[in-house]
Formats: sequence, C-alpha cells, structure tokens
Amino acid sequence: MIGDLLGAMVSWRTFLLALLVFGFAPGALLRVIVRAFGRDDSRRRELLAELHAVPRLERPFWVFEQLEVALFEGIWPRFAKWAKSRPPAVFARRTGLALGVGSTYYLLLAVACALLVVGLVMVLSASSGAALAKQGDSYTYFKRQLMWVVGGVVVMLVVSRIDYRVWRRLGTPLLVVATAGLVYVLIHPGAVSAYGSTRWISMPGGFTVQPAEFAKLALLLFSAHVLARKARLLRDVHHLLVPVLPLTMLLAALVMLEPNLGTTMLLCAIAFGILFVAGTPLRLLSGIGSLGLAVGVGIVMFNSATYRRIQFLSFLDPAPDPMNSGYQFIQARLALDSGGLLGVGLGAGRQKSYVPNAHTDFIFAIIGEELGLVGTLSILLLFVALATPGSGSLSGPPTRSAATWPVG
Amino acid sequence: MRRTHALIQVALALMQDPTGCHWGYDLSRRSGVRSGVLYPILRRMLDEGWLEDGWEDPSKLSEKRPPRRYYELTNKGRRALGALLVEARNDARFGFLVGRFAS
Repeated sequence: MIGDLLGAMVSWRTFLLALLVFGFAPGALLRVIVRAFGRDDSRRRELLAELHAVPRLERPFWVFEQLEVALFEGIWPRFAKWAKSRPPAVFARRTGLALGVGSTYYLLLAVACALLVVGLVMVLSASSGAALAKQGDSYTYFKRQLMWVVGGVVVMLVVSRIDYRVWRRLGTPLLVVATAGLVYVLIHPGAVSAYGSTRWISMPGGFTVQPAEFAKLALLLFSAHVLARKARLLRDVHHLLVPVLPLTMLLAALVMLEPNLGTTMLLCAIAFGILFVAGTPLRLLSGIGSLGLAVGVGIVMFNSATYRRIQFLSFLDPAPDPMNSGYQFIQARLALDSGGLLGVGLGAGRQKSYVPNAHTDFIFAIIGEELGLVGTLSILLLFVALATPGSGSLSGPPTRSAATWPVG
Repeated sequence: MRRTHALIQVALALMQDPTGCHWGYDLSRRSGVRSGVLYPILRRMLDEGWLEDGWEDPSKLSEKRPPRRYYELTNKGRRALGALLVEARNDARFGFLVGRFAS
C-alpha cells in the first residue's frame, strides 16, 4: 500500500507537474501561499517583495520553503485565534480539542462513548454472519461485546472517582506485585499455559490472572509518579532515563520470556509515550526507539517461534503465500480497497466472511470496507481526541503525573 | 526565548552587523536557517522589542518591484543578543557555533 503511494508520488507526470509549477511560476504560487496569512499580516507583503531578492535559480526552492512559513506563521496563529474567540465548550464540541479543564471531562466522556458505540455497531456488523453460522445466534459476539462495554463503563466511572493521588501511591506496590507475578509465571510449575506460552496464574474461584496486564498499569503509574516527582531534575538525561528505562527493559524481558510479543511491544510503547511527554530530547528518544526496534526485529527474526517469524514476514509482504500465512492480510487489504473513499455502506461489506477474526483483530479492515476512508479516519480522529486533552494541557492538571497518564 | 541552534545562528548573523539593516532572505542564507524557522524567530524578537522593522521607501526604488521589509536591532536587542552569545559560547551545546564571537 505504501509502495503504491510512493510510486504515485514520484511518477513522471507528478514530477513534470511539480517542475512546471515550481519552475515557471514561483511568483504565482507564492501569491497563493501567502493567502495563508491574514489580510493585514505584514508577512504577506514581505514575502512577495522578498522573492525579488532571491536569485532566479533559487526561487522555486525558496517558494517551496515558504509553505512551511505559511503553515506555522500563517495558518496556525489564525487557527489559534479562531479557537480562542469562541467559548471553550463550543470549540471543544466542534473540534475535539479541549481548552478548559472543566470541558475536558465531558469531552473525554463524549469521545469514549462515541468510540464504544461505533465499536458495538461495527462488531455487530462484522460478526453477525459468522455468529449465526457458528452459534446459531447473530447476536452472540455483540452480546459479549455489550457485556464488556457495560463492565468497562462501570469500572471507568469507579476509577475516575478515585483521587489521582491514590493512584500515585498505588504505583510502587502494584509494580512489586506485577514483577513478582511475572517471575512466578516463569518459574512456578503451577502457572497456566495455553497457546504455547505461559502467562496466567490460576486464582481460587476458577478464573485466571495475567500479571503482564498488571505490569502495563504498574509501569504507567510508577513512571508517571517518579517523573513527576523528579520534574525539576528532568533536564538531566540520567534522571530522565534511569529508573524508567531499566525498569521497562526488565519488565519487557520478563514478558518476552513468557513469550508474549504483543504485551512486550505495548510496554515499550507506554514507556516511550511517557518519556516523550516528560520532554525527552527528540534525538535521544529516536535513538532509543530505533535501537529498541532493531533489537526487537532481531529477536523476531533470529531467536523466536517460527510462527512469529512467518507472521512478521508475511506482514511485510503477504503476496508469496496468499492462501496461508498471507491470507489474512490480503483479505483485509481487499476489504480496505473495496471500501474506497466512502465505503460500501454499513452492513453491506462482503469481506467479513473472508477476513479471519473480522470482528476482533481485523475489525478496522471491515470498518474500512463499510465506512470507507472517511470512516477509518474519523475513528482515528476520535482516538486522537481521546489522547489530546491529556497531553495538550500539561500545565492544566494539578500535577505533571496526572497529565502523563492519559497518554499511557 | 528557547535556546536552540537556530536562535544562536540567527543571533550571530544579526550581530555580524549590529547597526545595519537585515533582510529576510539574506539573513536566512547567512545564518543557514531556513525560512520556516527564521521567520518565527524574527517575529518573537520583534515581540520582545529586540528588533524593529521598517519598509523600504517606494519612491527611492530604481527597479520595478514592491518595497521590501527590513529589520534593525534595537539597543535592547543588541544587549540581549550579546549576552545570549556570550552565554552560548560557554555552553557545551553551542560553543562550536559561537567560537569566534567576541563581545
């Protein structure tokens, strides 16, 4: 998919067009670009006049540079002004970006509800056929999802009532418990295995607990707590990285030994997100990130279960094995393709009978088929809106720690 | 203002000629900072009162072109940028940029 996109970008026709526009009419193009500035912004006149000072050969490149100027100096301040000029609640409702703390709560609630409802609708749409065939009731998976939604909302309401300072204090004990649980799963013969990996501890009463799930929460709470307490020392890289990074590596290693690649990646993503929000220099962060990625790929390719290597390779290029390991990806891609811009319509998708796990792992492909690019982008936007109030108002909440959580 | 490499480079370019007129394109070439970074810095310097801007007198233009905007350092700006560069010279991150700057 990405290959197609790149191919379209560098096709000779595009190239010629770009050459024509930038090469022969930089002045005309600049006139369009400066419209990003307000009518009485002096930058408008300034840039138009400045073009005359640029050597003719450099003009196309210089005009191209002004696109960036227009974005950050023209469009962004205008947008910010526009956003400020209207009451926060209205603005939050219209754009999904909250300004005041008071409106954030309702915004989060609204976005979360929207996501839950969309999720329910799409689960029903994607699973009803398979559920009818397998269970004799089209609503089987829908009911299960509904149960989770109701349970989740209850937990959410309870959790949000608890003072965030209580959560801060819970971080350390939870971390100890989670680490102990992870070690227990690795060494104790009583741990429960399934699907070739040992992740669960069986509890009295017949249900099982996965310590890795607690490790995620514990890492989040503990790191946010520590970083918030050290807020003043964070300019020093050692203070920034020392408890969080080794801790993440320890937890990730323990989870990887189970083995559980998915949760390992989630742990790393949590640590990454927290470090990002805490203000790690981007160069350092990208260095750590690429190192981690390299190690991860190395582990997957040379030292792990064969199924995972196959899954990874067919993720990169599903074409060689279309009926087997590449099947899911190819069918999912077909679903996305047939959706196009607006989709084939809710419930009208056909790929859901072909994509395995259509109502869980690959539901996004079904959304792409039935609601199209517009639908998938809207959902991504909802997720962004869910994360934005948290990261956008770092100074808003009473402590930095409270602000770093939503990102995790 | 946040100290970045770009800010130091712009400050150096401005302080090359502390009393003269500076032009956008010329500044970006001499400082090696691209327009998208330079113009926000200039705007902030204007807001801080470090710079003053003006427009060429259209009646004095010999060729047919619109008047250009120029920037001049104020006294406050010269002091602020001078202090900034002295400070940057002793900063491990910027020392190599400022090496030859003497205040």
